[in-house]
Amino acid sequence: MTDVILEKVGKTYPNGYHAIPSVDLTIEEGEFIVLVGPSGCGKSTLLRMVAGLESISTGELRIRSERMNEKEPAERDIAMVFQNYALYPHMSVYDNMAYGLKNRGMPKDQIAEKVSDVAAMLGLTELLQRKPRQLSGGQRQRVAMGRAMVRDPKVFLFDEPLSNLDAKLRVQMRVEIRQLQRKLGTTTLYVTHDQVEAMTLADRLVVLNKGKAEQIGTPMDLYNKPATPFVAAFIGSPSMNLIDANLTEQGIKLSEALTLPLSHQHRGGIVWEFVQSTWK
Amino acid sequence: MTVTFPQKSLPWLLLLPQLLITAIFFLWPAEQALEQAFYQEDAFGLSREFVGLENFLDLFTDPLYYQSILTTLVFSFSVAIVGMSLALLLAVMADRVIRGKLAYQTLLIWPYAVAPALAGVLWWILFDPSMGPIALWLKSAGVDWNHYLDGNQAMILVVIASTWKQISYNFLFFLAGLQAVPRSLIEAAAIDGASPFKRFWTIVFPLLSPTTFFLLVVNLVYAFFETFGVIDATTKGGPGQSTTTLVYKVFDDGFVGLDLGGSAAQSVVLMAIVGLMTVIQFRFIERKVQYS
Repeated sequence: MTDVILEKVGKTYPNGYHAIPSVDLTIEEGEFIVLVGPSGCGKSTLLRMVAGLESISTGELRIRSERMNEKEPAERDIAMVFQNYALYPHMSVYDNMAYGLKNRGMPKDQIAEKVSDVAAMLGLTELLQRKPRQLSGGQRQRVAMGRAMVRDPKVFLFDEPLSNLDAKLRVQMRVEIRQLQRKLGTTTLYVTHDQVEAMTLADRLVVLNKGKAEQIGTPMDLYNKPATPFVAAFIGSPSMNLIDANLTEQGIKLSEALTLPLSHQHRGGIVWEFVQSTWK
Repeated sequence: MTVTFPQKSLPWLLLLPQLLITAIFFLWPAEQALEQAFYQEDAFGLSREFVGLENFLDLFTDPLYYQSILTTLVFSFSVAIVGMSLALLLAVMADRVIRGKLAYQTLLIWPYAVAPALAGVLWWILFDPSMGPIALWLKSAGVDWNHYLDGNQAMILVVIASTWKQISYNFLFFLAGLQAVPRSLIEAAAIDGASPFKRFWTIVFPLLSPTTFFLLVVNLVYAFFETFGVIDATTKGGPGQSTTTLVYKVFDDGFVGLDLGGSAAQSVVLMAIVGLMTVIQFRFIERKVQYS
């Protein structure tokens, strides 16, 4: 079942800046989609448009086949984890997690049950009475996730949630996020600039460059068959070698002395596959 | 940072101007007042007599003095609460303005630059019962405005005039406080289903509480001690004693009533209050609530 559909979604700012020309994306239910790209590529903007924190200039956003463009963030049944966690500093962990439920008018005893369930799942039970400032970075991160999880939203949105953690914790939380998402089966849209994070977490990746989706596919697709030089250079560490060459009748001419024969047909001016044995 | 001077005389020399000002305009008069408070002096200052604590006893058995304390409390809390509420409202609105933001903010800050006496005269003219535009408008609306006769109206007038000047100051602090609230918190609350009104009262306002407390103390100090000019220019403490605050009473009893001893005793009491408030201010504001 398709869950989230972005149809020719574009963003133009009032000052005329064309941040996102047009993005098409269909997300299946329970899928983990990662938006990845360099800073300023529009990945956060796209996420915020799905959240309803930025208006959608052109195109249509549908969640469970319902048009969302004009809906307030609260009416979209989404939950978001922010880069700086955005925990309410004057509220305890419990109140942070209960806030969204209270606003929706859930009875007190149900809220308590819900919060303690999620807290147990995330190992936060001992910390429920603490204030955010008394927590470590990793614990804050968990609270932010707990706050998103208690509401059982249709879609999770993550905006670079791990970038404020140290390297070791980041790897650990990465695994945990993936496990939780599998367990809950909630459709997830995740923004990161870290390609390792993107490759390890995603069911499918969207590589964005200057507001354009360069390629959408599984991590292995992107790794083995990058659709554009940008994707080829962006994915992989150390990054893929790119060599300028001319396409001739005889094959790919790297220099006067070296011409590589083509494996099969060539497309356009760019050739992606060549027989490895020719190197020998 | 510590700076070490090679010889002892240079730091004293650098401190000298400030020390002189403090000595001439604060320490000396304070000492004089303290001494004066124990003497009774004739109106011409030709002779005086040591009376011990009699001035203080007179003061604390004088119903007019208690009346003045009450007036001061009513006046100060009115100024603080009205001034802070309006400033917060203006700051919230100015924070939302996108076009011409700077122009609004500049205009809102201007009244702070107006001298207290001028502010007093300005409002005195606007509210003058026979020719003030606001007074005439009130009359046409059926309100019989005459702050020369009606004590409550006189109080309203001095509160308005004093508040008007202080709103700018409050506004600046509230605006800075609002701008320091992270946008992502508001956005998180929006996703959590809180209406704009609820977002303000459950997220923004609690985060402003350190600012609010700081402003409360500053406003009370302002209303207590710095509104002499406004009151003198508008009501001169009248009608009757209805707008005679403690500070105005010091002036009135000393320089109009020529009871220098009693006036000095009141000054000593005020000095104690200032000291107390300064301690409160430093105690609480120095360790302002820190959110991280």
